[in-house]
Amino acid sequence: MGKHLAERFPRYSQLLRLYPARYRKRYGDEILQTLADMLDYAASPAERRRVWVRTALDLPLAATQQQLITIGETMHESPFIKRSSIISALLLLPFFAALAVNGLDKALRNQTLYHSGLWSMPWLGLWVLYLPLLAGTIALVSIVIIIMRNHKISLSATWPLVGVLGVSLSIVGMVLFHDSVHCVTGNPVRELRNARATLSCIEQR
Amino acid sequence: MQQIEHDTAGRIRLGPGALYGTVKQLVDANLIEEMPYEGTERRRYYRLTKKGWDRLGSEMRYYEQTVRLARERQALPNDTGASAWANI
Repeated sequence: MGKHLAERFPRYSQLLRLYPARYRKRYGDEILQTLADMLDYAASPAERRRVWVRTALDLPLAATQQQLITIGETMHESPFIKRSSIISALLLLPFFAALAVNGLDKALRNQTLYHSGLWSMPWLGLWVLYLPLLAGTIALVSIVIIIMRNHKISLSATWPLVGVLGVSLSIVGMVLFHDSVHCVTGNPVRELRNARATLSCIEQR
Repeated sequence: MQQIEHDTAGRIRLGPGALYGTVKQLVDANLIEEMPYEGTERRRYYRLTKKGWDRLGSEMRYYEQTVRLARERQALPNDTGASAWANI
């Protein structure tokens, strides 16, 4: 980035970090130069203020737009990430669909689906545990494959997989530990100090 | 950018970020290209590519045709600014 212009606009050049790195490297200098030109050509202090207001409004919108475009490009450039993300995300769909249907039933008819087939084995186990577990496994294996191929992981490229992995682990964690969650959240300091009692509480659940 | 604002009577006001988003789109679509420049100036200059000129030509023809049709059907506003449809 142009040192001279970065010194002239230190805060704005810092805010350019909101843009994706590749875009910033390519157009960062030109954006600063254009801002400098706009301010230099402004005829009055009021016009200079207008330039700053316009620039302040423009930055978040343009940065968000470029981030979204970059995400799209990344997905397009890497069909493997795209395919794995879509498959694993689809496997999480029944979980959220079941919760949504249950929520709607409660809101509209003040009933729940707890006594329906959806909330009994084997269907319950499928949408609440096995499918999220499979989604997490696919996401994790895909991330490992990407690391083995590239010898590094780029969060900007793999965020859909990381996101699915996070959601899957959260669901599985909730399912496995929801009965014993109070064992560790009642008084975390006390429960950490009395680890044996806490573990015993979890085991009893 | 002042030129764009002036030419569009203030309807389009671009900030630097929006401007370079558009520049990137045009470069990616191979409609404009950066001009080789060996000076010491920081600025970069862009020009239309062959594809860009072709696209510009076809857009101009489209707009010319639209205006011609509007004239033929007397759908353009008259000198007082009132639409011809207002008299129908």
